[in-house]
This record gives sequence, structure tokens and C-alpha cells, in this order.
Amino acid sequence: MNAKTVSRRRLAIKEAPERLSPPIVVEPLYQCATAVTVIGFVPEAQIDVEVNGALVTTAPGGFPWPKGVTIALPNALVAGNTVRARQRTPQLTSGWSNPVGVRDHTADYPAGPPRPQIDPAPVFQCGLRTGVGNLLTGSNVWITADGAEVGRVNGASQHQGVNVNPAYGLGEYVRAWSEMCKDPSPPSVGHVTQIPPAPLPVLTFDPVYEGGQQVTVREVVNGARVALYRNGVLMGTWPCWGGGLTVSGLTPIASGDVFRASQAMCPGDPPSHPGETTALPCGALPAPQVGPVQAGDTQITLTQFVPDAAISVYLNGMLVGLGSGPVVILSRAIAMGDALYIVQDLRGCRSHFALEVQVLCVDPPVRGNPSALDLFPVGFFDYQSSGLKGRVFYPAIDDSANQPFNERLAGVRRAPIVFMAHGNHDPSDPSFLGYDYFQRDLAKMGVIAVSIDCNSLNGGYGGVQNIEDRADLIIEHIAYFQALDTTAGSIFFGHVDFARVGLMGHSRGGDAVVTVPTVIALAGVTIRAVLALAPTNFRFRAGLPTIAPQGYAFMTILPAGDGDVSDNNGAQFYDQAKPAPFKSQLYVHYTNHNYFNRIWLEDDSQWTQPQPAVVARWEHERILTSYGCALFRARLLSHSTWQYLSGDLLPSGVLTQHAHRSYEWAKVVTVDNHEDGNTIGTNSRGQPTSQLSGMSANEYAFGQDPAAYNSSFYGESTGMVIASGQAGRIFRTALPTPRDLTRREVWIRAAEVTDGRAVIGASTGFELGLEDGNGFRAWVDTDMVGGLPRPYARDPGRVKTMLQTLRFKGACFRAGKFRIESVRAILIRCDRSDRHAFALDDLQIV
Amino acid sequence: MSTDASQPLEGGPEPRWDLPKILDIRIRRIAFEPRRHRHFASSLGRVGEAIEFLVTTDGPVPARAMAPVLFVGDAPVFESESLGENRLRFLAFDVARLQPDAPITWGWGHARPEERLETRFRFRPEG
Repeated sequence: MNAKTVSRRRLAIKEAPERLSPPIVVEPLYQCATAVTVIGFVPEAQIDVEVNGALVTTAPGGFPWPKGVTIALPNALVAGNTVRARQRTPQLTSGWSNPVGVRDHTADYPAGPPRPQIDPAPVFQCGLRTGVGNLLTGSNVWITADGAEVGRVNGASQHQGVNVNPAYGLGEYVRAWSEMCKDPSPPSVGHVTQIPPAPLPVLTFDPVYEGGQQVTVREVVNGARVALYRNGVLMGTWPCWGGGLTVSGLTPIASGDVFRASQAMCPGDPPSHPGETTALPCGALPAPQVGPVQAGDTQITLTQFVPDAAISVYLNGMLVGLGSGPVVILSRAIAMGDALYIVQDLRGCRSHFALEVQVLCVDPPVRGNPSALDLFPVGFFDYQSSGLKGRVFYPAIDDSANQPFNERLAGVRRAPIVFMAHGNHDPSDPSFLGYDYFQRDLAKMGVIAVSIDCNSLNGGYGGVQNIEDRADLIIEHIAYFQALDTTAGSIFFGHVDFARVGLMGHSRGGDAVVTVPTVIALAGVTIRAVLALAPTNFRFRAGLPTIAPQGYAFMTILPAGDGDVSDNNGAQFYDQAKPAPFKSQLYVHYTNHNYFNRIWLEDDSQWTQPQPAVVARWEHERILTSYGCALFRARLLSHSTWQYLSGDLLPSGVLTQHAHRSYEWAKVVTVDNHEDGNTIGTNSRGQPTSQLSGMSANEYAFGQDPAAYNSSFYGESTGMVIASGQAGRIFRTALPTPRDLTRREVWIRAAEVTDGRAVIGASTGFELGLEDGNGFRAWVDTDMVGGLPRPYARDPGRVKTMLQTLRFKGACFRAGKFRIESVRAILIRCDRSDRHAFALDDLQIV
Repeated sequence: MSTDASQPLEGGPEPRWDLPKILDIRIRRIAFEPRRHRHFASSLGRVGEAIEFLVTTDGPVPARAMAPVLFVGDAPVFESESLGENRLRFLAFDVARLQPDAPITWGWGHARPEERLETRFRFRPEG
């Protein structure tokens, strides 16, 4: 993201607001909800709520942060209703928000509402308030302690605070429950109340500014009472679910006002020492900060802002949004190259600073995490039968070992199943226990997750037969679960859907799960997705053809710092795979081979020194479970989580800046994949290419192959290398007929070519251009679509030219008389003077 | 509030993947039949004949993703299995690539020539 803070006074913007942005009705809305939550309005706006075109209620919004306003409705919602909201100030009235359709929750949650989450956990003795998340807006939520109800809110928000009365005792078993339309959710994970920390932490304050009306304190213990003083005068005492507490509605704060706060838990125990802050003058109010902004966006997401500030967004000098964090709706879509200016103002303070953002073509938003879906309790057990051994996690009626299968889910449909196979490791270690975090994440969303003990095949040897042995073992486990599915009395009796099978294999297990679909002959088994994590490819080493994954969605994760499978053989499988309906590759910098498995303790990257330090083990785990759940949800549960693999979205809480994606859909227009054997002079559409202004490009094997451009390629494909040269050289590839790319994207896999020994010079890039039927051209730089990553600087000899997919939106190509409606050629222009060579492949129109 | 200043914790332990020393290699031509699987036929089923290398080492071969590989000259022999403590059987299927009297080295599957370990043995099949 290109953003910097600038002085507001220098901006040529019209400061008098003429319009308010519509607020946002929090989605989804479900039948029976007795309340709606609205966010994004300016402080103290009036909120009108309309159902089916009729104004049903008006309520003061108060302060929009941190929870918006949850407004009770005169009547419960009914499926098919549409709900809108608008905001009003004495001077201005916004337009109505986009209508939100009301659905029956059983359409989205046929097995009942998702299970609540006590958030934050844990819960403490003497706690007075507990946060409950993962709720459906408008549902009813209550808390029990040792089975007795101690707090309730009807018409809840998605993350609801529940006051507890009486306060928790020590050692009580606390659970949260919810219902929607009298349809109960499973209970939350149970938490046993603990002795609160002693001494209690000193509270801290977020910066407080002159003119503000809110104060946020941090370090609050879950369930504590917080006493707030202003200039020595008690403002009140609030219960807090823990973490942060925002107090709203203060009279405007003056510079120099002193705020103190302390927290207490059990009567008789000492409160915390007080924390203190002094209000800063208006001149210190900073510019807000925003998340990624890209062409086509119609809203901005704020990542840092003062909670009671009104946020104004100016586009090319005109006000296009006025609301509040965390999301402001814009009155028009923004385009690549637009300059956005974003300011925040308090009631008594206009910020002196603005955030200037240059809009990129592609800069995907961070939105949710595909591993976060939490619907069911999780049961598990170890099995051992006829030489087979493993551990299975599954959606259950409650958490713990040997629980019955979740009967609500069973009543709706059979559950998909994923089989996981670890790789070669010391056979005295229980490697199959190393993916429990991934198994649990799948099970809580309704997927049975089996981890197979492959230790009988582990040791200091290997080869194609060993991989085939592993594939055979995996199939035997699938057959075993087929038997459980047909065995009365089994937990899985009648519950498994073998038409929705996924496979995950790590290391040699990855090699094996790619083999399984080519040899499996079990009746009734359909493999829909395969994840090969840092796989070996023993067939390649033995001189046999690499298996081409086909008939299922294939994904591979390649640790760039892999010190064991240091050739990243999964790239060969990706290159050979046929998208069905997609294929996906993640080349992840600063990760190693072992840390995805909790049992494998060694940092293998140290075997191939020098290497950069790898990220922590839990960062590896987040990568696997986030992207792995994205794959399996997309193919086994028909969720749209493929967007995390294609790069449309980024998962939160994941080091996505290190994950370099390749992705390909089936049924797109491939302009050139260089696999046709028709020389560099002709593309895959049978159209001519041309090399202009000193361009020197040719086709080469992209792999460990004597015909490769150099030894830095590790996949198994043919691609194109643009040799080093002067700036301005152009490669042109023609389309058979003019095409309208207005709503299309141009995708290309690209990399900076390394010599395999070192990462030299500074970062580089190129421009991708489109040429219309009249010869007019428009260009977009790679820096506008996320940039070309540097090669991973690992041990000399294993620095790789690893391609990733760059996406250029058609709408970003704008210049003079150029017409995006009739594109007849795609161009690559090397406009840098750094003389880097480039590797390119799979030029597609998507 | 007191403020600490400490040193970063060590990363994970370094793996110990050094190969043991080869004490003996016995080489012979054999009829090859792949192991029988429960659910499919091996892709190696048509090989028919192989060169067998019975290797004795002075210690166990570490278990990792990569497998140990014998190199007859520059020809790799990838297929291996355990015959018990410190004993391995390697199988070469592409017999024509094995040059008589070529020196035998060994290393991990992706070992570069300079990373291979020398042995005192040469490719001299029995009989």
C-alpha cells in the first residue's frame, strides 16, 4: 500500500461536508432476530431503520465504536424482509444503506446456530461480565455457571457482553449458550473459573485527545470492575469482559485533563494500582490508518483511528465518504492512481493531518480467516485395528474423547472426511499427532479429520515403493472408515460422505496423497481436494514421469526455507496439475519443512545454512490451517473460501506478506503457456509474438533440466525468459480477435530470474500493457498489483526462480484513446534500468 | 514498571542427518518383483530385473524426507529398504546406466556431487 501522512492544510479539499455516508447494517440478518446492529455512523447520529420500505424505529446511535449500536425492533424479523438504515445529524441525512435481506438461519446453518465462544477467555472468580462471540445478530444468549443461568441478553450483537449475577465463584464450570428462533446452538467450550491474577495489572490508556468524548483503557482482567476518574472525580464503575473497555459520552475532553483508572475483582482483594494518562492537545491528533485499498473498492477499512472520530474521505479533492471506523462507505468506486485523503475529526478538534493513499490496481483486503468457522463441539479418539492406527477428530455433541457424533449435523447430511498422512521421521515419534490443530479446525466446521500413523513405513530408507506403500496405507484407512460407516454401533455409522473426500500429506505423505487418486479403486470414494505440504517427488528422482494431479483441486505449500525437501518438489506437481476447478501453490518465505508438524522439533533450515531465521512454529501452523481450511471448505463444503487461494482476500492473523501465490482456474483463456512446442514466435492461441526495442526472449524448461535457462528453476514446466537488457524492450503477443477486458483480469506467472547463488541488486518489476485495435496502449506496473517478490535468499545453489501469479484488473488500464473494449494484444515492457532477467509463464485472461 | 532486556531464545535444534559410514557393499543381479499392495499394483511391476546392493553401515541412517542414495559413478540408485539394524538394500532398475568398476559414493537424494560421501567400493557385481 502506498500511503503517507501529509499536512491537511496543504490539501485542496472542500472541507464543508455535504453528505453523510450510509451506515452499515451488520450482516447477516436472520428470521426471528429482534434487533439489528448498525455501524459506521458519525458519533451521536440518529439512526433510522427501515424494514420492507417502512420506517420502523429511530434510535440514537451514540458512539459507533466499539460495537456500533444494536437497535431493538418492534417486531421480530421474518425471512424475506429487507432492512436498511440511514444516519441523520442536525445538518445532514445520509442515503439509505444497501438493503440486507433477512434469511432463515437454517439456510446457512442447517445443523443449528454456530456454537458461542467465550471471548475473551478464561473466566475468573468474582468476574461480573463475560464476552460471548460467534453469535447470530438478534439471537438470545445466556451464560450458565455449574448449570445455573447467571446472565442473559435477548437480541444480541455478534459479540455480546453479558453481565453476570451473582459473580462467578471459584471452580465453576461456565458455558455460553444461544438460540435463534428457538433453535438452540451447541454450548460453548466449557471454562472453569480461575483465581484472578494478583496483583491485578495496571491499566493503560489509548491516547486521549482534546475534543474527544471517549476513553479506552487496556489490560482489563476478564470480568473486572473498572473505576474511571477524570481530574480526580469518579466518572463511574463499569464491568468489563476483559482486554479493553471504552467509556463513551464524556463531556468534550480538554487538553491536559488527567484520567486515572484502576480495576478490582473480588471484594477484599486489593484493586490494581491506578493507571493514568493526560489528554493530548488537538494538534497531536494523528491521521487515521487504513487497510489495503484497491481499484474498484466502494468502502475503506480503517485499522487505526480514534474511536469517537468522524472519518472523512476525499477523492481527488471531493468528499466521498463521511462516517466512522472501522468501515466508511464511499459514494463512488475508486480507480487505480486515485489519490485518497482521509482525516479524522473529533467534536472539538479538527486533525491537522491527513493520510494520503495512492490507490493500487490490486491490493486485496484482509477479511476473516477461513479456519475460524466454529459450528460444532469436537470429539476425538485414537483407533487401532488390524495394523492400522490413527487419531480422528469429528463434529460431536460435546468436546472430549469418544463423544457421540453430532446428531444435528447427522440429521442434515453426511459429513465430508479428510485423511492426513505425515512423512518420514524417526518412527519412535508419534508423528500422526502433529496436525491436531488442523484436525480440530476442520472438525469444528463439520469435517471429519483423520490423521494416519505411517510409522510402520518410516526409517532411513526410501524410494518409489515406499511412497506406494504409503498410498496403499492411506487407501486402507479410507476402507477402514468405510467399514466404520457401515458398522452399527460405530460413532461414524451412517455419517460419512465418501463422495466428499480430501487428502493432506506432508513430505513423503504429500508424495503419497498425490499418488492415491491415480490408484484408488474403492467404490463410492470421490477425492475432491488434495493438499501436498512440502512434498517429495520420488518418481521424478527415479526417472519416472511426475504425476499430474487431475480431477480434483490440487494445492501445494512450499516452505522456501525447507532444509529437507530443499528442491521444493511440490512445484513440479503444481506445474503438472490440471485445474479442477482450480490449482493453487503457496511458496512461503521464512518457513521450514518441520514446523507444520508439532512433533517434529528440529529446525531443518539449519541443515542447509546459511539461511534466514524462520518464523515461529505457530506462524507455520496458522499458514497450514488457514489456507488448508480454505481449500477443504471450498471443495468439501462449497464455501467461497477459494478467494483466499486466488488472492481476492487475505486471511487475518497470517503472515500473508511471506506467502507468494500461484493460482489457476480451469476454463479460462490461456494466451500462452509455452507448452505447445510452437517456439517463442507463436503463442498458445496460434497468434504471432514479436520482440521489440532490443527484447530478447525465448522458451526454456522451467525445472531441474539440462534445457533450463539455468539451474535456479525447480518446477516442471516450459516458460519464457526475458534476458537481461536495456530499459524499454517490449514483448508483444497477439490475440486472435479483439476482446473486451473491461470486467476481466490478465494473469501471468512471473519471477525475477536468479542465478541460483545469490539475490543481487534491488527489487525490480516490469509493466504489462494492453493494445487496442487502433494501436493505442495502456500500461500497469507490477508495483501496482503487489509487486514482484525477491528470490528467497537461502544457501547458495538453492536460491530459486519461483514464479507467482500476478493479477492485472482490466479496469486499471486507462490511457488517452486506449479502448479496453477491443484489446488485440498483450505486452510486456521492461522499463527498469536494472537489467534483470524475468521468467514468465501462463499468460491468461480470467 | 520494570523493564527487562534479554537475549533471544535459541531456535529449534539442528537436525542430525549425517550419514553413517558404509562398511560393506555386496552387489548382485536379481529378479525383481515389487511388493504386493493391498489396493493396487506397483508402477514398478514391469521392471523384472534389478541390481541389488546389500549395504552394511556403522550406524543407523537418519529418517527424513529425503532418502539415502547410492551413486555408481554419477548414476543414482534411489530405491532402498531396511533389512534390519544398519543394513540396507538398494535396488537399481536402470541397469544399463551402471558402469562397471565405477566408484560408489552415497549421499542424500538431492546431494550435489561435492556433498556425496566416498566409499571404498566399486561397482563389481558378484558372479
